[in-house]
Amino acid sequence: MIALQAVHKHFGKTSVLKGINLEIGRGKVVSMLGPNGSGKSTLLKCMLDLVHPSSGSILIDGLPADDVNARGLISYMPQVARFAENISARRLIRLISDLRGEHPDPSWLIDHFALSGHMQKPLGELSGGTRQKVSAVLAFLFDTPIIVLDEPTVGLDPVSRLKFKKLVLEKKAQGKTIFFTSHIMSDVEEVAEELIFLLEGHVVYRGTPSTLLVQTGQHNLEHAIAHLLNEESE
Amino acid sequence: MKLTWHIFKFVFLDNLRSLWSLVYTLFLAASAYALIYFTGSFTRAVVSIMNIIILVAPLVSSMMMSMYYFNKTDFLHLLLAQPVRRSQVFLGMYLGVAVTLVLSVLIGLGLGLLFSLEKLDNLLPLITLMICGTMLSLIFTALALLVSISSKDKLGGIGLTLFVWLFMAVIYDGLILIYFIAFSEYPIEQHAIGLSLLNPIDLSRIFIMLQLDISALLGYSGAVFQKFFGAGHGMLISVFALTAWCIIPLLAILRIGRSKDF
Repeated sequence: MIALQAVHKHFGKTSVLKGINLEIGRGKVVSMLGPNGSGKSTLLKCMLDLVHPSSGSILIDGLPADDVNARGLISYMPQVARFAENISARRLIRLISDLRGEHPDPSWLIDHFALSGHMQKPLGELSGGTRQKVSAVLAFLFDTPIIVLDEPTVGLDPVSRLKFKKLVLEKKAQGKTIFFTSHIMSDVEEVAEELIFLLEGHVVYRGTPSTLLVQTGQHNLEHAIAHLLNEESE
Repeated sequence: MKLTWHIFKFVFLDNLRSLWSLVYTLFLAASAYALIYFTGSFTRAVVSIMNIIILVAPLVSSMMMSMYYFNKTDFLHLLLAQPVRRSQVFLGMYLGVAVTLVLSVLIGLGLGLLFSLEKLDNLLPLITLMICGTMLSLIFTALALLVSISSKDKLGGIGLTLFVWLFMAVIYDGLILIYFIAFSEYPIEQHAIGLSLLNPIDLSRIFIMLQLDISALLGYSGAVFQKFFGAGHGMLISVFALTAWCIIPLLAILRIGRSKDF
């Protein structure tokens, strides 16, 4: 479980997160939405201890987020997958496996994303989408209770996106908590059970996509979000 | 230590396979060979190679580390999101880049010298040259990583890294010269020793010149340097100073890295 309590983050005079309180239970697929600069990436990075909150606490399954072991409970897929130019994907997977101290067989994921022809090539020679698929392999390879994905489907072709979403649902069925950010509303509609809408460092909506549609009187998520944004700016 | 080793191995291989490492190694080999081949005197050849090493090794080390850090931020984030300590990530990354650069210096100079064996009459200054090249690579890689981690953006980080190199390689000597001229009527030779310890490039230069036995060219100061660096404790102090130049930035990297937001 992920629990955030009164999380604030300032960068100099700029306040990015303004007292975030959240609890995300096990086995949920939660999507965090919000316009650019709303604090989504900062919040995600706080969970991974890449950014230290100015105040407040973050617990990952009861462990403080800055505990090394807490990061062992999270698999992470970053937004951009520019890792190393001259090293193969296979070696990158081996490095992350070595760092995590577990060596699961990645072949089913390599087959799932049709990556077998690319595994020996240097990462610098792969296209952006293929690198994104390698990053997805790293995110789904380990048996962690929490999977954090930052804009995971950007750059993926339609077939890979379908495969990706299928994988998310499979992992959810296994009881994993999946927390992801996205600007692609169709992806969010298909897989997310819960939405968290962030605006200027505040959580302005938390609930299911269907409740949001009813609440805003809109017929799809894109319009519902736009409605929510207009409402907040008035 | 095991986790640092894994990160080191990965970064090392990534750098080793980079085209720039090959270009740098070949440049050093070609320079060493050409200078020994075309310069009549052995001493003059070594001085020329020294001038290349003490300027180029710090510059290339600074740029390679800084560029690696800023171009691999996604990779850095991926590593930091794993169950490893930040100190292990930074140490692994530093060693991966630094060892590649040290290998370039040793292999580059080694190859250049290997092809000029018949012209070499004393190996000691050349070994000193290699040791200084190694130390300068380790020091300036650490300084560049420190500046990069302390910087907020790529442009500022690379700019500041370049300035550190420029300061140590050029500006520092200019400031010392002004100091010597201003206080030329006072006995400040002892100060010169202290000031040279504060700049690893100067320290390396003096070291190599003493090995070549041309310190007499420096006049009275040369005699003072000879007396100080030639003695056991002087040697020890300078080795200590070079090691400190490497370790202090590394400690600062670990300290700043612990609290930095990525």
